[in-house]
Amino acid sequence: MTVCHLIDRFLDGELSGEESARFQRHLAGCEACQTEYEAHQEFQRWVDQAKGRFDHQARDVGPRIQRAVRWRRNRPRRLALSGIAATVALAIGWSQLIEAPHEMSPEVVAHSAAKVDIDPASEVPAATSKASVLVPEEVPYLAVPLPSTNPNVTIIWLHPTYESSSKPDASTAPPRAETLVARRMS
Amino acid sequence: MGGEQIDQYATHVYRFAVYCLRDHHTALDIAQETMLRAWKQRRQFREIRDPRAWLLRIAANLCRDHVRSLKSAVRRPAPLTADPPGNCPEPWFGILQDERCRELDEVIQSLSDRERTVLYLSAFEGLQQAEIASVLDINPGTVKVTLFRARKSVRQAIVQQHAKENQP
Repeated sequence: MTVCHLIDRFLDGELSGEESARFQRHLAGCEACQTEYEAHQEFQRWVDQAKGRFDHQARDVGPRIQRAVRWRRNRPRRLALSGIAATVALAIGWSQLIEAPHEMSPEVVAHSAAKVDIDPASEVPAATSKASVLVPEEVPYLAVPLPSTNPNVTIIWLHPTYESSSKPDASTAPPRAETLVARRMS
Repeated sequence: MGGEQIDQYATHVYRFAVYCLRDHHTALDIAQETMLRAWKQRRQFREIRDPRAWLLRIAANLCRDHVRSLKSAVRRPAPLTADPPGNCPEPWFGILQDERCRELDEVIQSLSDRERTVLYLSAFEGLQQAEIASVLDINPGTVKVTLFRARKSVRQAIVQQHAKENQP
């Protein structure tokens, strides 16, 4: 009985030791099986070469995937740590705000300018006078003009932007308080 | 088997995804998702006999879902003699760029998608028939018949090539 049909099982290593030995004996004398066997071996050599070339071209892909996967694996932990850090920072900031609110509010002093005599019935704005507003130098602030119905009055709201313990960067510090101009009511 | 041990199969998974999808970037995404899903199921690692086949099965399912999401019912691969898209290395391309393999190229292109995939998993990934059946979620008997047919076609092409070369 021919064993030619066993070639695929032989190639896949599915034959038992005895069957495999029997097929090998058959292979030595069967030209058709030898041709098939050699063709298979040649195909597998090409595949191995192609696989080697592919893996060489894609040699950085494996580590790249591993790095990306590790990053995604640790994302929940990172998010949890970020949340804790944000909560702690918020708690510290809030507690300082509550404990020392007066430190956050610089003492604002408006210097009175010379009195200007105007006609109360006149609709023309009175001559304006510069009024200096002083805030502590180390405290930068937000100067927010507020709406006013009186044309002779400009209201500027000064709001400190950070704690007085921090020194402002010279390049980013807001203009000195003296440059602030307010139109004063006569 | 631990999470670190499956890392070694990342390239296999990527290669299989490239084979299925012919797109480097999508294959990378699929490979990452596969490895991440495998890591999430790490409690099952002890029960898994062949991690590579297991990973390829996850990748195959993801590739199938991806193709379905694109609403591409049948995605015939691009001609294998063409340059791979986006400098993407393509597994068969290494063989088929060889001038001697023109007949083989035609034969492989003439195979059905299933025959080509089964042949790929056997020849490139070295999977056994039962593992291929597991990866593709098909009957082992079907794998056996499909692989037999694909191999037969390939061998015949090579034999014919030899015959032509030996002609005076």
